Amino acid sequence: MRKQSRITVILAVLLGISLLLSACQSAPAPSASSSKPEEKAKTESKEPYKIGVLTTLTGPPAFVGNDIRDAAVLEVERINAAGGIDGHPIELLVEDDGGDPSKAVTGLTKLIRQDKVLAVTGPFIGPLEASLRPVAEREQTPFVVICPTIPELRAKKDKYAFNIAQPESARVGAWLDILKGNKYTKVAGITSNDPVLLASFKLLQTEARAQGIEVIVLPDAVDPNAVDLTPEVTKLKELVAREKPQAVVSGVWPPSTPTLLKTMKQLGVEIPTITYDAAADPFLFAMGGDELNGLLLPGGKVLAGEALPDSEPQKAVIIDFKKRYEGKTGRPASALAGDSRDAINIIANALKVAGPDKAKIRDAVEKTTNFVGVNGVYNYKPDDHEGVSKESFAIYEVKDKKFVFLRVVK
Amino acid sequence: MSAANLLQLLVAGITMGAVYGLVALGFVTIYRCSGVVNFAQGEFVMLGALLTVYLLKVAYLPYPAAAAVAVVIVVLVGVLVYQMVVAPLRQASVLSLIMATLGVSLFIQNDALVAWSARPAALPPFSGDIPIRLGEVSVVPQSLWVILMAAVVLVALYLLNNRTLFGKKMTATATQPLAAGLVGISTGSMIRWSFAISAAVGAFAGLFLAAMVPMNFASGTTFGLKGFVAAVLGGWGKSTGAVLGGLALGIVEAFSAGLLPTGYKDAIAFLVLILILYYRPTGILGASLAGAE
Repeated sequence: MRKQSRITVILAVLLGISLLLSACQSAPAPSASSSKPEEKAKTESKEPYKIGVLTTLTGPPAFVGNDIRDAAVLEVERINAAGGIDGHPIELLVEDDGGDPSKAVTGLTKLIRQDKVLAVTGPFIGPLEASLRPVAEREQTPFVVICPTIPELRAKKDKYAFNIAQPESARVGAWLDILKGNKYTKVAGITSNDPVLLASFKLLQTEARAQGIEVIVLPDAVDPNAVDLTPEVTKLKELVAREKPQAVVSGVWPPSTPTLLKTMKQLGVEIPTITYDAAADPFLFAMGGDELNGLLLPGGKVLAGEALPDSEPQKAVIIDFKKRYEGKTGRPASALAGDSRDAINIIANALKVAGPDKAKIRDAVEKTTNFVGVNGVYNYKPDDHEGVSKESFAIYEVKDKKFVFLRVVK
Repeated sequence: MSAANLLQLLVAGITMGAVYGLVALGFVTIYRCSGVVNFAQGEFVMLGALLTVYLLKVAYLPYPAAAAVAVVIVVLVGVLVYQMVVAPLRQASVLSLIMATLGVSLFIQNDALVAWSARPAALPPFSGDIPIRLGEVSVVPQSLWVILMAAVVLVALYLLNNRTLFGKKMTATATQPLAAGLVGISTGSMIRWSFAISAAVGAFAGLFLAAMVPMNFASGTTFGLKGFVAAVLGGWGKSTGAVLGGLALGIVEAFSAGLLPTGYKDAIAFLVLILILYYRPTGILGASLAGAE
């Protein structure tokens, strides 16, 4: 027995050392990382305005969820350092949605009822939106959603929910820009089984037809969690052999995109590939290398940064944000970080006009006009709670693990 | 669908099936020796993959060294799991042990999340990614590596169990722990070895797999579950059954995804499992209790 316990101790020490080693090597954690109130204001005199952030901090999508929190913290620090909202500091409350609808609903309800926030931003995971919108609506709390919405939810005309991410019409506009730019007249489509993307492909087919471009979408949507895509690519191969399209438009989820391209190459499906905006994030390159070369995609302008033409109104905002965000976190500024920055500023601007009154804040958000953000120039209207169009996208080509800026969508 | 494309699906199925089979072998090795179902088996796969990625891309070790160090660390983790969790619970009920290994699985997963964040990462293929073309069918070199690995592990385990004194001791431990103890076999140390071997097999499966698909901290759950299904399918407790079950699961998955709407893939795989267990409750080869075979 004594011998056994000695081995245990040695092993425990070894494991401890190896864990420590790996922890020391990992990137510096952002300073504000708990779900406690993030900011102690310099202007202590006036009562703080509370804003809630609902994002995914645990579970598989957490690696992008941190970007949303860190960008929100960064903006709140900036606003408070400049004197807050008429002297009222902003207090940020962060809740983890765990990527799970029931956890997200609990988190949102807690933020609204217990923490009494004036407005909430988040989440970025599409499937959570449907269960969260009714809560914000019932609690009459302004809710600036980061993920894109779907036609079914848009049709409900919620009063309190606004979206930051581009609607599918913007994505389709950007895709058509790419298709026309390359003079494609016949393309194939493959997509993950995701309502946002299915709606995008439906719209693409109609709009492309009006412009003389035929889009043949593979009837089977790809399982978003599929590990091996050989069966899907085999189906695509048959479609390509039969219809001879000039390119493939892919709505396959970004984590599977390198696998898709690698499998296409292996099975000899050599055809230009266009994917969608969610893939425009540097995390793509941790998973794939050469097979990504030549991939065309629309994406937020934040990736282009200095490469944007000077005539671009968003350029100054983007460069300022990138500098501050990258300086603080040590990570490249992603589109989602920019989305979070825009959401906080739209809410802060509304607070400036409306004060701590949720109904008035909602009205003020709806009146947002020409707000130049990182993700786009926002113009919310009573019948348009998405506020951005295809012009907010830039087009990139992947070259050697970099997104090379080609042009802004016109 | 043309014959070439059907063959292509078969190749994909065999490749994934070999991976499932390797994970299943890990389950079976521990179960045969100790009667414990180790639900942290998938985490060994994930750790093998992510540690190799880390050692290769952050610590800049050469590829073979990174792989070897990763396997050694995972083996240590496996032994540690036995020593700190399973050994103290040897007298507890099976249910408690299963719960404990599930707890270990969550613990390892979340440590991996903290250490490496949740970003998926992939390894470069061992020998390039230029596919070998056999007529219209392409085979990636990495597929061959995985299949070879599964075969080597299966043969090695067979030889170990049947041709060495060490293997006989393990079998004795499994068959009759009390008698094994009486003739001087340290049953605890045999079970510790089974954890070490399982961890090594899992780690190898993980690092072979990461060269084909990106992995992150949560990937272990998927492969752990599939490996468990494969082990049950093949006849719980048998090494050859585990590999057969893995291949069967992989092939059924690939064909159902290729021939039917892809969403049915998992449904079909589990339907096959239910049918096999209904008509042949002991799995393809017939289950063996701890120690038979």
